[in-house]
Amino acid sequence: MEVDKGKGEAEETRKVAEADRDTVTLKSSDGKLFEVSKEAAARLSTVLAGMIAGGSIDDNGTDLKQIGSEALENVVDYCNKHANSIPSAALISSSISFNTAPFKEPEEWERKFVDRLSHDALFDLVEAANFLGMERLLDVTCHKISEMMKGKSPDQIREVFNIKNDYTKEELEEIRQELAWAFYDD
Amino acid sequence: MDAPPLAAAPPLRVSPELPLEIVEDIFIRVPPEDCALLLRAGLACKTWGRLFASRGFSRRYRQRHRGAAPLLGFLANLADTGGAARFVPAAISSGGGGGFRPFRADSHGYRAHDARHGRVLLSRVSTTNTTSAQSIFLAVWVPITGDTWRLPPLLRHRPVRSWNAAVICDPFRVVVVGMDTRELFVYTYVPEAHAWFPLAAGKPVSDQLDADVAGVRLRRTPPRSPESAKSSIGRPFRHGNKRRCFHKWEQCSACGSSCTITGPSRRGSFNKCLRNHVEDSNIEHTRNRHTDIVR
Repeated sequence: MEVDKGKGEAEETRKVAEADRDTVTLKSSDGKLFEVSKEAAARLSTVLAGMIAGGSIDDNGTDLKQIGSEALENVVDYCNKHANSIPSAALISSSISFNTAPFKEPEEWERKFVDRLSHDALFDLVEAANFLGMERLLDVTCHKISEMMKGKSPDQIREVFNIKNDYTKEELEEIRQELAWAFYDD
Repeated sequence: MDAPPLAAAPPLRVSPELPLEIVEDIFIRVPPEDCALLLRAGLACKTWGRLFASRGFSRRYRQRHRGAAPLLGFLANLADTGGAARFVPAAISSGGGGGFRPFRADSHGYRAHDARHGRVLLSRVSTTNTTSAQSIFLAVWVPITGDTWRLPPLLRHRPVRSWNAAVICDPFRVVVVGMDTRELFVYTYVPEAHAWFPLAAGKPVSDQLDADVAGVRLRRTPPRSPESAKSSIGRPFRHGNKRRCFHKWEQCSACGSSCTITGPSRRGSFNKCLRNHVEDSNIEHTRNRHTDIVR
């Protein structure tokens, strides 16, 4: 397999033959390889945990076709940082469902982690987190985006999310008049 | 499998639309104090508008922000407005903006009487001597949408000595309890019919409230189950002093968060969205002499 090496994450020295490796190799949509600790992957991602348990992990690189290399690098980076940070039991996803669980404020390092991301990288990462079932990462990235929306007008929100307005001018005007208070600019 | 030689091509990503489930994950985190952001986001496109107005979103939003209903403001019956109610917004969001202000802050000629689940019950400020009044003029105001419904006057043949009223929901009703020189009376306003219906009447024979007046029970009756709470009508109780008061209405305590709007409805999903998020989540009322707190 002649594929690109992923940012030094995938070391040439990894022992492919060894069945009981403590890392898993992930392959991005553009063919880059990344290694991440099996323990962290299983703990942070429900999808990867399922794959590991089900034995569908490919030692030559488990294909994650939906995730680009930049996003996957961030995912791996997050997993590693998470593994290195104080293992806080509170952050490990519990049985409470994601949307109704009380949200825990991002920790300092998590905040820094998402703050340094570009707009596109953040949006890619939120999709990757969603795809991999990484509840905590999804929590942190969604929180960041919702904070970014603060004080934004519908136009600005559309721009950020790259969506098209399908309201007619009249509909918008009518709603704006009814709900004038929501559009005050203090 | 040959590695593409032009693998270095730029990703060309102009953030395609996020799946709706992620949009929901993002906006479910908007704090209730900044509810205006949800409205603005709902104006981004119709799909989002429908999403934020949906019952599923409302339910999850409420679950997530349990007990965090923001104080939107309060209603004060002020001396300098001649006793009429004025909405005084609470400065809730520190960053400014996002706070709720009704389209019209003053309810000219009406004072706040009760408020529950987003509806404020107004009673006309009487210009004449109240002791001889034979009609009760009420209106229901929804500050969030600016809608006001004037209820038909409640006419009595004899001067009303004392009365009180409450707006309840699920279903939306207005209930009046009062007494004149001869009897106790209870009326319910049914918005579908736009009319008052007498519910009970009876003679106040002694200083004790009469237990045989249908629909009227003393407060010391055992606690009711939530089911019976919905159907029971007013439960006037006695104050410490000897006078009969009809102060306390508890119908909505069991109502929870879902509130069906049965009044005139000419608007679309936005008001519904708002009701679900702001109004249902709490425009509460506590009686504090001259002010009605609106949450």
